[in-house]
Amino acid sequence: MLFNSIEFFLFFPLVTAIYFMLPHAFRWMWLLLASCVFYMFFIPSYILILFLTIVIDYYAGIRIAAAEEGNKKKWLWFSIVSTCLVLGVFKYYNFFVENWNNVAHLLGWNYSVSALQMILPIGLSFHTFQSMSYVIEVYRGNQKPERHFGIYSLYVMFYPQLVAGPIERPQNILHQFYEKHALSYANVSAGMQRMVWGLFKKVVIADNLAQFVSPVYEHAGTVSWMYLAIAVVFFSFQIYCDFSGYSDIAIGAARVMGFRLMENFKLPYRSTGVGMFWSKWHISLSTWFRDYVYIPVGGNRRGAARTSLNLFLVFAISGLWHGANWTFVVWGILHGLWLVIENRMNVRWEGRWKLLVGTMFTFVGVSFLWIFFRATSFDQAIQVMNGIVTFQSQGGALPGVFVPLSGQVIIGKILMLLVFILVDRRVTEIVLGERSMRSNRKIWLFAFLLASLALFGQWGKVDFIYFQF
Amino acid sequence: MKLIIRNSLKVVLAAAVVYVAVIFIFSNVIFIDRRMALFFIPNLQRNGGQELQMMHDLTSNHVKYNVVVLGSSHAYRGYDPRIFEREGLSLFNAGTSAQNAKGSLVLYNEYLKDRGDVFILDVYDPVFELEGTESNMRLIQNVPTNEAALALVQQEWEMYTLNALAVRLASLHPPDESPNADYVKNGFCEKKGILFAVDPLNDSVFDANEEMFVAFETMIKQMQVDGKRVVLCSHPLPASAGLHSYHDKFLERFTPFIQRYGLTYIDLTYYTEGFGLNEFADFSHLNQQGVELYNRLLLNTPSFNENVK
Repeated sequence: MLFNSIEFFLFFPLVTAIYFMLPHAFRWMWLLLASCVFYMFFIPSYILILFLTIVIDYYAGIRIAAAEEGNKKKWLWFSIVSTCLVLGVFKYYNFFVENWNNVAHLLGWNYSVSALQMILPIGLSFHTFQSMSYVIEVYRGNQKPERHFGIYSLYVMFYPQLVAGPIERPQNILHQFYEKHALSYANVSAGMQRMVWGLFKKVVIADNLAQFVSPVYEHAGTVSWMYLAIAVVFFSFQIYCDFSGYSDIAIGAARVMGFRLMENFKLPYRSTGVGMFWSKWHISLSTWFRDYVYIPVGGNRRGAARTSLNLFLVFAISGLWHGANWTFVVWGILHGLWLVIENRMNVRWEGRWKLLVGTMFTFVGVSFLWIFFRATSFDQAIQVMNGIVTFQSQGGALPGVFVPLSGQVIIGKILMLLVFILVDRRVTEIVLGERSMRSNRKIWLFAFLLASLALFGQWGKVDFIYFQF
Repeated sequence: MKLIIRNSLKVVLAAAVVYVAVIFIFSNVIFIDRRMALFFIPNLQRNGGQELQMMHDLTSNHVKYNVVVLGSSHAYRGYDPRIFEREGLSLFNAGTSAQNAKGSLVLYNEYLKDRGDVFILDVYDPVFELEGTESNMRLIQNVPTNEAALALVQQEWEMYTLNALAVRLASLHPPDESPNADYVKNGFCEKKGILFAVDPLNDSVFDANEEMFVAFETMIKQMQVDGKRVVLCSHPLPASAGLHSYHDKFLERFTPFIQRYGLTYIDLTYYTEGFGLNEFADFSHLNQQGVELYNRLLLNTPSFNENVK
């Protein structure tokens, strides 16, 4: 079920209302049932895959806690390998087969492996990582094993963050399922504000920008450099509004019911440097890689060279986590390289003007690297970059099915984005409760956001980008 | 709880006020020669153009025509009233850009039911794939009455169509934002130019939008109940366009439907005699030379004459 669908507008109030009407003892059951329904809106049978990983990690958690010191590791590896195997089969098998067949073809071997005809289970990478987080924390002794199978299932399946995060840690969320949440004005108000802001970012900003970005990338070889450059900038905001919008809706929906999920974004495009960018972008994933990959392989404790290698490794894996395509791996590697260089040079952007330059530089760099993330192939990524740097002048109008995308629509999108850039920080701070605003003014602010959803929203047109991961 | 409901209501009411105010301002303030609404409201279509000119011609008199045409741009660029007049037949072309069965049905009910006994429904495969929102939004802007605009919204309940209706109602003096210089008369637009080459579309796969077939069926049923004679036509397409697998797939879905209602379908999609690149303006539209050839071909086709004359 998509957050920007009519089904969710019926689902969410219904689930929330019944949640508060039920006695506390039954609430977990209701949330679990609702989460199953939410997930089964995509491909119902895929819930069995989710169930399999839940059973494995639930069992592994209990065995790790009960095992002798030497056996703990065996159960940890059993759990990690099994969970990664599921991820590997569904997400990476065809990628592996495609590369294997290419190598075989290059070497002249008359041997090829057939790809599997299947659709990637939605949110697989997210709940796999959340599941792994639990087992690792139990292994480290930071978390007691969860013996209530239903509550553990809910930890993996809690519908607001099931398909695209934030990737929660057991210490933050598990205990909340045992707590009794009363219906409170503060939670409902804060949660709804968050949801409206998230929906605005997704439906009004991200999806309107996508309407331009998609055809430009599709016709990258024939549109002018100006369109390509606009599309690159647009995509930076599209993905930001799409993903942070999703996180806002997830955090807001959970908050209405009294749950606190971790923050996932902190105005990342205001960063001066790629290191800072990654501390503000998809925080739940960045910290996951920091805690479970970067630090265990040595972090920054084994000298400069090893630190660089570790960073590089983490970002390459992070790229692959995003998608089974070399474009994602290159995107991750380039980010890793940039971070290594930044760390080595130890650049400090201090002072007003330097801060501005640093922010611009980071934004341009991150936007440029998004090209690899957005392109469906290397050829397309190179076409986009080549078109911009050579000031490609072909084309003009964007081909549509019947009507080309007109100039005024593009101007409208640019103006809409400029307004968003101007208000993003302020509204985000208001929504997070970090900035106060008079009640009457707040009513008009959210009235404007609601009216904008109706007036300018692209409804039911574009999936959330991170659903594919 | 009371506080939640009270504040929610306040926000919703304030949102309604903002909505109305923005619609009113955006519908009437001109920015770079266009109403502001066109810059910001998704899928909103321009006021004016062939649709407005056609509706003006249609409603400026009460003439009953021998033949009325409905369909997409293939229709309004493919059936020339002047050629039919030479054969002693009056024709009104009510085709509009990407017009689908939902739009056709509203035009038929609101304006065309009493204006002819023979209806040519131009059949163009991609129209049966599209959602049709853009096309209907164009009609919402340009039909002469609010009742017809509302009927179009009822065919397609979406935020987009509701916005289009709101803009229409709020526009005090909507300008003609896109006059069509190719417009001739009775809805027909002459297409100039010659096609030099076609990129073959061999890989295209027809992906039916079942809603469109349902709407088409509803329209046919109603026309048959009203005692209208219906002829389905598809004009030739460039042989090099490579649309065979696409059109064949469409026919698989469409043929049983024609048989069920006993309809005449003159399908000239693959017809090539006399139709070279010189007869086309682009990969899917005939130019005036092609229209001349196609209309004469139709008028000499016995199954067409049986229904029309």
